[in-house]
Amino acid sequence: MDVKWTRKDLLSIYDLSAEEITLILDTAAEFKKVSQRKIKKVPALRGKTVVNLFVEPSTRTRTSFELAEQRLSADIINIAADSSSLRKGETLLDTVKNIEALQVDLIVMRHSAAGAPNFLAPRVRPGIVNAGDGAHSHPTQALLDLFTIREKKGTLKGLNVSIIGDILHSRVARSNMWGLLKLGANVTFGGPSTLNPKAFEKVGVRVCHNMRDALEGADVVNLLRIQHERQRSGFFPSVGEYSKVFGLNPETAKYLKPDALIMHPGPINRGVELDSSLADGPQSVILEQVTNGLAVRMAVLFLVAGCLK
Amino acid sequence: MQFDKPGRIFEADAIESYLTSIGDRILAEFKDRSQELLLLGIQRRGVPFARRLSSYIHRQTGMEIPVGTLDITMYRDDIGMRKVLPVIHETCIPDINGKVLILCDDVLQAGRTIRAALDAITDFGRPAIIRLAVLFDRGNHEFPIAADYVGEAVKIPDGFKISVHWLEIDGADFVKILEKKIWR
Amino acid sequence: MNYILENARVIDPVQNIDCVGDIAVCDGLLADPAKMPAGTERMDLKGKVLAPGFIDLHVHLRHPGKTQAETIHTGTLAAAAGGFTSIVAMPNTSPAADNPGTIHFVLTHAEREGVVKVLPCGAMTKNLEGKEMSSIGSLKAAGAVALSDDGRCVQDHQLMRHIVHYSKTFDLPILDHCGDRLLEAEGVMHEGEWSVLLGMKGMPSAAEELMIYRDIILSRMTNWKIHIQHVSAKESVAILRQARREGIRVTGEATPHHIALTDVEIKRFDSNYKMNPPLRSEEDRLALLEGLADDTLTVIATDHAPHTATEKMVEFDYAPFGIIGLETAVQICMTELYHKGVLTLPHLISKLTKGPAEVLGLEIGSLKTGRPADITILDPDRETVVDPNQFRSKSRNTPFAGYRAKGCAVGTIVNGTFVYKAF
Repeated sequence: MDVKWTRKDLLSIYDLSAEEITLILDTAAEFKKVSQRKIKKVPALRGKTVVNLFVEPSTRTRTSFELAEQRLSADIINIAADSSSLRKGETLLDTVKNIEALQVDLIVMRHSAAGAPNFLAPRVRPGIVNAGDGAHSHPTQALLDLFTIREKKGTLKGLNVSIIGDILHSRVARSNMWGLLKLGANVTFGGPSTLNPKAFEKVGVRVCHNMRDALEGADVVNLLRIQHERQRSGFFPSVGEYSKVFGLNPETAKYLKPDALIMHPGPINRGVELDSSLADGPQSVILEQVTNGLAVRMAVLFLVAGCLK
Repeated sequence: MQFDKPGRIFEADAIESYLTSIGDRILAEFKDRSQELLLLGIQRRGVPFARRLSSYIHRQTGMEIPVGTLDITMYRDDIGMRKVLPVIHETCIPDINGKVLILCDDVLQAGRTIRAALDAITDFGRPAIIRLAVLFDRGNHEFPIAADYVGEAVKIPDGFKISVHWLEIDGADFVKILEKKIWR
Repeated sequence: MNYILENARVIDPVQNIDCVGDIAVCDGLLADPAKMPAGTERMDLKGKVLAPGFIDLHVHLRHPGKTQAETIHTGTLAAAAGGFTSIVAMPNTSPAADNPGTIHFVLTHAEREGVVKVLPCGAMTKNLEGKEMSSIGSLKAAGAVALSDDGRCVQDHQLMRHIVHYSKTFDLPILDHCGDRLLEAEGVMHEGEWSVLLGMKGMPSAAEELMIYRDIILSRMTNWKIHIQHVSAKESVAILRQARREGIRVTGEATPHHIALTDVEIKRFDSNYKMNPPLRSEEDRLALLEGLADDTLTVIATDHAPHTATEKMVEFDYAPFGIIGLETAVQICMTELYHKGVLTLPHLISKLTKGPAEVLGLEIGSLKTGRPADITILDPDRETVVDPNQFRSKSRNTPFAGYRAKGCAVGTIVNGTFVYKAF
């Protein structure tokens, strides 16, 4: 039977069942075709108003959401608020209550504090779509990664997926982890021990602190951007050493399966976590991830909009 | 034909005869433009109808009439008004520019689906002619839309709907009258 | 008013009493029932438990400075409703209780509008900044009963050594909030499985453990009393146990919320689960129960920390630490400790009477004849559901709304007068 979508919010992948994830991916496949037409716009969200509330700056994710909203014929308002100025002035709840009073339908929000969308969703009428909250969750990024892998490999079941980098501070790694585990993939986290806690083993992730263990036999490798700030906080000695020990380069890529996909949520630090030749090579699906992000976000907005009261 | 209560009203043989009659009429009208014909089935139960029309025409004439599928969910006018969101099925449309497009659906009920389908088609291109073929026409349309080819006009009481079951989707061919589910 | 409370189960851990009997109150003092004149009013307390008035070593009254969250009046009303007759007021008010004036202010207001007894605690350092010792001698003279920088922890070990050594002269115990600031690293919850899964900054148990080790060492060096506030980690319980075996003068307290809850709750992102030290793992919670059972931890204290709804109704990361506890502590302890068989009733009562009295070194917390009649009456089996709308406290920041409790305080008597009566 058809799976039912009943959520007015998309907060995290942790909340979703495997069936709901699959429904989003199937829906996204149809929306992907819309962007391949001459007329790349459908009236699905005509008359609906979407607010993009970005309390943490973002260019890529916001652009992707904005385009997805336009292609669904929604009306759009962008609000960029620096979280510190927001804190000095009105509270987040007051800000969102004011937006609610304008009779908007959906709020796409990015926030630097983990759980901010979870805090808001039960307290306001509009649907909330999480566009990234702290190191907690980034559901649409995970969905576009799952979509890309499924499109290339046919299924996620039984695939070995390795995510490499600063796992500790990564909402992308966490969201991918829940999605991959729910759809039956084997998940490995690789990276320096200071940024890749063993506690993930409790939910069934393999945690490795050297690249050979992390990459051997992988069908997919997803590299995370390494922030220079972590080096300053003493998590690892230098970007140079990080690149040497934990970067993906033609040498370490030999451990991967020959047909392995190379992914990156962007923006890439070329030559740091990922060698340029691999980023631009035949195994790289990095730009397809961007394309699929649009389709996945259209699907998510369409689904949640259908559940508004 | 008029029916007063729910239950099965047609079996496979009746469906087949309505279908062949529609096929014959299409062929008669467009015998000179058969190269330009394109059948477009509306997801979900218009799709088997279009496929079967195509294979009937093939059996009769040897011609391969292409079949496309169209899901109109993205074009609906009731998003957010339904309790359960319809699942989107595949849309697969060949080049429709300059074609004679026969839009196929199982039942013409309110006319809202056809309205959405016409909007969708416009986004895909500019057919020379659009015709509408339906197996059954319930009458009492809510939109000013009429079908060009109708298998059978069927009158049913308010609060009921005609439901066509296909071998490909439901395991058997037959037609039923059901009570309408209230979505709101 | 003079009266006799009869037929209650009288429990006084200080005197080692546990029997059904009578207690007399004469002119606000505890008296011998046999010596009361005939015709003295009698109150039948059959089925109830009569204990020395409960002492809460750890309360934030927010007065002066943040009276929108709590005042000495509302805080003591809440204490009375929770069964407490004496509460120790933490010094992190505004201005801080780092000077005799603020101590005097608290005592004056307590005298005027307090419902239960308020015992002010002085700050260890000026403005609780951890940089300069406050005027400890003057604080003592003004009426401070202990010293603490609660909410913060003095990071400078040399300064802390001097504070402990110096306060010994004035017979003021140290109540220390233990946490190494660098290891805590601006965490908002316990560092463990859930902080990792949720992607939130964690405070490792080691931050608490490290400072408890420091305090144990300083206590041994100075031979003076250090009481560790709100012990939350299993490692902390283990090192306290070892230190106490060696005769070092350290004691420890547990809070009702650390006894009842764990960090799994944080996945709700409800800031009423945010406190410092944070809710830790189930293993830690079980270690606290063990620590209470073997008297490694001799005190239960609430860390009653009122915050307004506005302050708490924000993103979890930005919410202030702390929850209120005065009006839920006894319910939680009766349910989680007594009814679940962790502690006997006399043992539980000792954590709320004898234990805190020993930390303070004060002659309170017992039913000795001639002492002020401070009494707590319990109904050990009454079933209640926590409803924050009924609280006397000005604040509502509790994670226990809807908590189903068995056992609660039904009467509170201060100097012979009922300040709370619900039977």
